Amino acid sequence: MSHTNNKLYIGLTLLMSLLILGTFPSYSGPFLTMCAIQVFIYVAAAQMWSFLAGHLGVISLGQQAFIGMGMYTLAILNEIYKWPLSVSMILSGLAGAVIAAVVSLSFLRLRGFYFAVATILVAETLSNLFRNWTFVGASTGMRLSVGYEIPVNVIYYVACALSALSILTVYCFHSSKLGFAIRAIGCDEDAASEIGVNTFACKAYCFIVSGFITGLTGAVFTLQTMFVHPQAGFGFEWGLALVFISVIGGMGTIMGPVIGSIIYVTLRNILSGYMGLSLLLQGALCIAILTVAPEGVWGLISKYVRKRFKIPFFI
Amino acid sequence: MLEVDRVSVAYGDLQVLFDVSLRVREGELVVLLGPNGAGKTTLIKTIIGLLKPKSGSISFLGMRIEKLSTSEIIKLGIAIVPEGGGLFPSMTVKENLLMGAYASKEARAKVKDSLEAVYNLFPTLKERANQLAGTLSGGEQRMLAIGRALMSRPKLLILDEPSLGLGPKLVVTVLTMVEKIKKDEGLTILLVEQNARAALQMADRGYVIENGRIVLEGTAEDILKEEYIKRAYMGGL
Amino acid sequence: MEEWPMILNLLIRGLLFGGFLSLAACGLSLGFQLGFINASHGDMAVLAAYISWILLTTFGIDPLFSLVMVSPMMVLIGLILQKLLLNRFLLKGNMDVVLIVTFALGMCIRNSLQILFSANNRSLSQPYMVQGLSIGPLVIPLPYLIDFTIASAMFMILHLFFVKTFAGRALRAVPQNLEAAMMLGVKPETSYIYAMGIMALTQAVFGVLMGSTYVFNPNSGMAYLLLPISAIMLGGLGSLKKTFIGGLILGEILILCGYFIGSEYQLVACYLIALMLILFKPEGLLTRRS
Repeated sequence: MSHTNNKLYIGLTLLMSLLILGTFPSYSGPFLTMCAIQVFIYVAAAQMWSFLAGHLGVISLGQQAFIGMGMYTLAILNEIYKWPLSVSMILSGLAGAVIAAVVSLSFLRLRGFYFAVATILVAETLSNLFRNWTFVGASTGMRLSVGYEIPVNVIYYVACALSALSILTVYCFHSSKLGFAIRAIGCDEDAASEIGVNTFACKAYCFIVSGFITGLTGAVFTLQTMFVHPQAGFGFEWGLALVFISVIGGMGTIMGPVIGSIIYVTLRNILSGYMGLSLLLQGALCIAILTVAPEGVWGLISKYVRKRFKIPFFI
Repeated sequence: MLEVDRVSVAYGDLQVLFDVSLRVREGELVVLLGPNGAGKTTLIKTIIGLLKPKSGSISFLGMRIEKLSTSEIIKLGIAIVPEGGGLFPSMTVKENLLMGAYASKEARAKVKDSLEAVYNLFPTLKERANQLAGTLSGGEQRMLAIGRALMSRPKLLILDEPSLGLGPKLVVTVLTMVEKIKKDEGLTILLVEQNARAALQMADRGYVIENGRIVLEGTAEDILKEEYIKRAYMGGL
Repeated sequence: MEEWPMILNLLIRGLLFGGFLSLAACGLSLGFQLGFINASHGDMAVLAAYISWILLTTFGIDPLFSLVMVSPMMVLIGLILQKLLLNRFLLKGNMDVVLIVTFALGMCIRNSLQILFSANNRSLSQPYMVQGLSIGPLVIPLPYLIDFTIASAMFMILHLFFVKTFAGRALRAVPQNLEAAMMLGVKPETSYIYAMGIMALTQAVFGVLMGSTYVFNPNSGMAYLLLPISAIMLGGLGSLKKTFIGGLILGEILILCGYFIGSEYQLVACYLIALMLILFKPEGLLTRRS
């Protein structure tokens, strides 16, 4: 990645995005604003997943564990104990980070696939625990009353800030010494550890940070839906969605999850009555993209831009 | 029998063999000498089809083989004892030997006879037939590796540093074994070795490879006499 | 003391179920050893159950008998999938992609079944199957016994395959030393074909028997992926024996949990214990740490 060129593009993109996004709620109806919020939420979560999977080879199929933890932390602290919203949200992120820490320290040394399975098992376990915990409404769930007091536009900006934070985090990962370690691991993990890169620490650090962000995402998600439920938070659909978004958009890139999220939210809203069909289509599209164009949509676009304009274009 | 003609091999952009030519005639024992990293194992892998050359050709018994797959090449009658033996540690001695006959239908049909022949050659292997290969001593493992290569009844036997990592006494044992195989079975042998003197003493001809290029070739006696060989390769013996 | 028969019943049930579960596990573990991760294994087993269900409801074919038809069908499906879809990733060594592709494949299967058959529970169980054998104080459910017997028979056949045939030995050799195996003429593509074939066969047998013993629906597949994986991780990779014993242990854990903790927590308790065991001994309980 050439940093000077990147800075130019990122600067431009940021400026344009700020303009468009900042004024979005004012000229779009409530429905589109809700969709935008959904997109932001998925972008935030998918950025983390895509980075872990694409650059570090850490494939986690249990990100929903953090979403759910974030959701329930917010519910418990804010709804039940009436703590202030901002504090609750930060603690939601921390809850995600704590779980991520436990998971990474315990299972990250396993082979890639076993780690993926461990994440699924952890998510399922947490799901089951919360489903049977009557304190938080067990399988009926709870309502988050604070959600009613906050106007949609505010949630919009919060979600927007969240996805910006997520993108910023990925950008920080790529810079400085950590970025060097990540690139080394991405090329050849064994070689990287031989030259002294602490691959475990590197992966664990990124995983824990992603746990924080994903936990925050769970909290923002709950703000939007105003509903706390084990299926919504710990549901396997999150895992599938993140995989779909990252694969379709382009793994390991920053714009990839953005495009993937837009596609995902659009698809889901179009096929909103037909859950089975929607999922089937997602699976089929995943397979198609992996077979035909593994770089994903954004990967194709940036490849085209590189070829046509002969510039190093790697967002 | 085997003709390697100006073969160049590269790993991506990194070229490791430059116009290497080598010939092994029927009944000969040819030695390939060279320091570590010279490209000996790369050349062996190319002959056996695990690597494909950028340019040049390889012929075996008159047939071009550089584009064939490994399993096809082996069926034609080449067997290889890889560096370190390449054994399957959790399988028994007998099972390792049986794997040697995997390649061709003929080898599989004659597997019982081949097994008998190998046991006659290496009685220790017969004793340890049901022992796990990983539990054998270093010398026994080499014997097993060689025996396994013989199971396919090859016409050309390639050995990649069979004495590597063995103590001096075992080195002598292994190399004597190789010589015996050549005499008794009449096999054609390409021997890659670092123990230059011992290898050259039993060889007919030899090649020296350095940095991916053949720098010397000739009869074994001529090479033995070369001053710089004496200095470079036999100082340590 | 009066609880003894009850506990003994549970233990036996656990063993029977565990042995049956090992069947699903061994197909999967064969792939693992070659680096080939099939995340759609459970969903394929459920697919086999549905195929048998179609044969049952349309043609009245008894499920146990349908095994003869379903098995070749599943093997064919598996090999076609491999040829069309998976080979391009397997042969290049892109194992991460294989994981995601089979994951997506499982999703497709699951949702296609849901669209075709709805999410209702189905069962292949036949009246003659629902009985228990009484041996003294023990009551052994017949389906468990059938499952275990057929699974054990398959294990025997697989064992003979791995020990007595050239192809089977080659499959054992490849995980131990790929390059050496290739130098002996083993083609990686052939190994994958055999692995897929055996995997598909176990999916067929396990799926149909599972459907005859328990209820199933399109979403049952996940459990039949996670449980065999847990069994493999418990026992360790490397031999049929380890997978079998791992399955037995997991079966015991599952049945005992089901009794003492109740069926809502059964699976989760099982997963938790599996996680703990993986945490402390990732190479498997039966593997000596080298």
